[in-house]
Amino acid sequence: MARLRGRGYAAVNYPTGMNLGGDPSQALIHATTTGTFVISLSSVDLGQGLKTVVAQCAAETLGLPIENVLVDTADTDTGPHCMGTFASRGTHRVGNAVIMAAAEARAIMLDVAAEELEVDAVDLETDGTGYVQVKGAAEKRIHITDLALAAHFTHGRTISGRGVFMKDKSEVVPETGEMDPDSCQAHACTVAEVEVDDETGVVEVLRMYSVYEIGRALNPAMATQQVEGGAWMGLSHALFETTEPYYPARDHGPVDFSEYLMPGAGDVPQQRSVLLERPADSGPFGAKGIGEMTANSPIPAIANAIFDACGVRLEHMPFTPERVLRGLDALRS
Amino acid sequence: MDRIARELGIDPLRFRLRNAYRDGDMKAHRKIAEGTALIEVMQKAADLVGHELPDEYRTMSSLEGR
Repeated sequence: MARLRGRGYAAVNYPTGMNLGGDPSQALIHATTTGTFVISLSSVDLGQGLKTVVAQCAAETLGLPIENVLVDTADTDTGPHCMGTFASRGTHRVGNAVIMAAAEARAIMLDVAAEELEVDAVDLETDGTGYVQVKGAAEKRIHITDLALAAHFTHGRTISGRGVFMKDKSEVVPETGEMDPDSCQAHACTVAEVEVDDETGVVEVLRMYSVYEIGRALNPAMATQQVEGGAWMGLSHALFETTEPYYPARDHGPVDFSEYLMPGAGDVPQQRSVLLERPADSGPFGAKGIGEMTANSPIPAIANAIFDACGVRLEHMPFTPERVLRGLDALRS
Repeated sequence: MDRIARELGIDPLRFRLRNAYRDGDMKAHRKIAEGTALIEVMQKAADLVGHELPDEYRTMSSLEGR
């Protein structure tokens, strides 16, 4: 009877976007009378932080504080087209569309400011706090609120922009399999350290280390949350998610998803996560997508750690106590 | 990867580093790889857990073709 420790590695690459059928997303942006820039989308933020990241992209492009950006999204009856939230494409596709829309709006914003300040638009810059000012003469400036009011009521103009990201459909060459299915690839290495109880068959993940290369990390705190939340999902796939955790006894088995076994707080290992950056030419400010990949590498890392700990090579998820014990029995016989 | 590495008697992480794709490699669907960083994430992971790597593995780079 012993608790056996082991360490396992897994390394993966993961595509951003999937465009074998063409993959567009669109964005519209307009300024209200008081200088709030509303981004209209139909892209869905299902908790991954898309609204925050595209607001960052718009604020950076406009040269305005993020407080001046409002994201209005997820109504497919009224919003511009979005292919959807899948294939880790949201930040990459929608971010690019929003940057394009914001760049068009910025040009109009500077045009109107040029008329208000009676200067040439090419001599104007944004200061990042809400003002448009003359380069080298910062005292000559106008606040975005006054600018938006002037656009509406003096100049009769909209400050608005249209954006689209579209990767063309990739035809597969039947003879060779040649195709261009994605826009870029993110990379990750996960190391899992486990303890296997050779009497009960229970596997505990003690520590997990994650290194992700995700192009430019537009929001490092949220990217790290994605890495660690995804690792939890991977851990859950690897060790927990079965309708028969107590097989062959069914008495205490889950009968629906509310009783389905998943890791609780006490089952979550210590995690250390590091982000590396190699910006992608095609990404918004260099970002790649990391949505779905974060649940992937923890699973083979845990399987390899179990093998390292006790010599049992498990090929079917989840790695339940029963399967570990059957594997140990097979080794002994 | 782990099973092959152990069959060959090679450290699993070194085996992965040796075989990691790099910029300029052609992938299965005949697309030339760019923006790769598989080697670098493994090198950094080795640092985090104190996995010893000889210099020839430390100096590998995704930017340099084989």
